[in-house]
Amino acid sequence: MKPINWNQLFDSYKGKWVALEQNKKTVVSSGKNAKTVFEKAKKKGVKVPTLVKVPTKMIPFAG
Amino acid sequence: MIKYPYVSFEVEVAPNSKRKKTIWRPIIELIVFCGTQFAAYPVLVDSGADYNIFHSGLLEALGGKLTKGKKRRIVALGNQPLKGYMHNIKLKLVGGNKFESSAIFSNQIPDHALGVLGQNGFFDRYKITFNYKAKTINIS
Repeated sequence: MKPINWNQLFDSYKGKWVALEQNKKTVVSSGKNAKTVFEKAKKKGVKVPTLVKVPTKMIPFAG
Repeated sequence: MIKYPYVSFEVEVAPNSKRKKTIWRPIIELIVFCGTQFAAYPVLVDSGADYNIFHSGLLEALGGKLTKGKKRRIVALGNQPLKGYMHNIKLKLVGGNKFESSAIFSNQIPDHALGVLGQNGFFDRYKITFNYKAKTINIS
């Protein structure tokens, strides 16, 4: 099983909501408002969009 | 049993540092249901979290009303309080079955963090095995 690398996604969309296609790579919509991003993705025909709030910074942390 | 890969990130070794290091995190994708709407949502599997904590934007995107939940306040590492609303929801692991759960939805999740799956609402339902060497998470 291949580990996933989201560096490119996270570099390009910092702080935004992003909807991905089911391949988990293609961004179909993005923006500041999650509802708008989700609705745009659905209108584009994505049945189950992946909604991600992209972190603004990638730093080590403990949860 | 469902097997998921870890996700890798290049992180700054210190705030505003140019030096970066590859960090691997156990992030899986869930399907989150709200009424007739649903979306996939990547979350950190966090055995140190007491509850599932998701972004309020997700709930709103799916047509839910944040303040209809029960008010909750939790404390993160560093004593930072985080306010949110607990909602009963249905979740589904990709490749798994739908199950009843609950999550605190908050608009105060720090900007550097994803949502998390915690003890109540996730670890109490599944056996979760982390294999950092193989970079896999097994859930059964």
